[in-house]
Amino acid sequence: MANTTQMLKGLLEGCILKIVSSHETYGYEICERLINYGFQDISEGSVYPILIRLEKKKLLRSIMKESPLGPMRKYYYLTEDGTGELAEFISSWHKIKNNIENVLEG
Amino acid sequence: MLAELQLKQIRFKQQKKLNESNLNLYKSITSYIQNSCLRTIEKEEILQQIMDMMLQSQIENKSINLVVGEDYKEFCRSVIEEYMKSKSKIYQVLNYLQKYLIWMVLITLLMLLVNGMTSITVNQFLLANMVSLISIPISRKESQENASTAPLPFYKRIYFKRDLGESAIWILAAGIVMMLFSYITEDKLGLNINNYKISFSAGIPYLILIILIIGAIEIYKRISDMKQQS
Repeated sequence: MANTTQMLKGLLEGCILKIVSSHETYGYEICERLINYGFQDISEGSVYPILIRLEKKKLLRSIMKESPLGPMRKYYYLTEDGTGELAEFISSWHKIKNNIENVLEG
Repeated sequence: MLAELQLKQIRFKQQKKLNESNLNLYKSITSYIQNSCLRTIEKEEILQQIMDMMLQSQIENKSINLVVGEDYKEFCRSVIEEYMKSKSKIYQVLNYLQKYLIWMVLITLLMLLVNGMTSITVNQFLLANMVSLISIPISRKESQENASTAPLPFYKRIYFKRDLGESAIWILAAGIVMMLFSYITEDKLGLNINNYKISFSAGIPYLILIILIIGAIEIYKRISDMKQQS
């Protein structure tokens, strides 16, 4: 179902914004945390492109620093716009969740 | 330029740490990304991050599929798409035009050198254009699609030589088209323009003009990118 994938990707964007909001983080760590939260299949291959998109939309900003493993690594932070977008996502999500629960309860 | 070279050096050094299957995947991804029409700095940033994520997944004994997914080509496509979304159509067309002009100038100068810096024939000039306009972009697309993660025989392990074989076929194809063109104009239409010589001195003003165009497009690209960044 193509629509489900699109919807899930949108939800994934919101989740990523939330993860970045808590502390400075980077691509691999975000993937790990999503998987720990249960997002295994959906997040595979999607996280890194979403990070690029969020940065292009100015919702995230990044700094390239040397990682402990050797290569340079981008560390992400939420911008002001990103904070606003996250708040909107949280309120939209609660509304949708309520509506769907209403439908499912008959 | 400096940042790009630094990143490239780091990647070259770090890739020794990758295990065999990760190394193959890394080389395939590198080939795919390098053959796209992103800017060099963008390609280096992408590959640097992928290298970092691969090393981490390797150290933690997890599969890199967590980051890249099942299909690495699909992954590369989505990454490239995200970068391309912020580039206008004009940018993309000018980028293609600039690459074509650069190749055309380089190949023409090479032919000139071979001819002793005096002149080149119309045939040679048309060949240079065919190769730059069509063969090279197509061979890049082909390299992307045909990149595989299978281990390569030892003589192909030098990664920058991987795509040479495929490009050669397209250059040959351009040569064949040229021969057809000569045949048609000479034998069928009776024109003898093919061996008409374009002298180097006559060509200098055009060369300068083309170099200025290449420079102008580069400036446009940099300004576009800077606007995008801020």
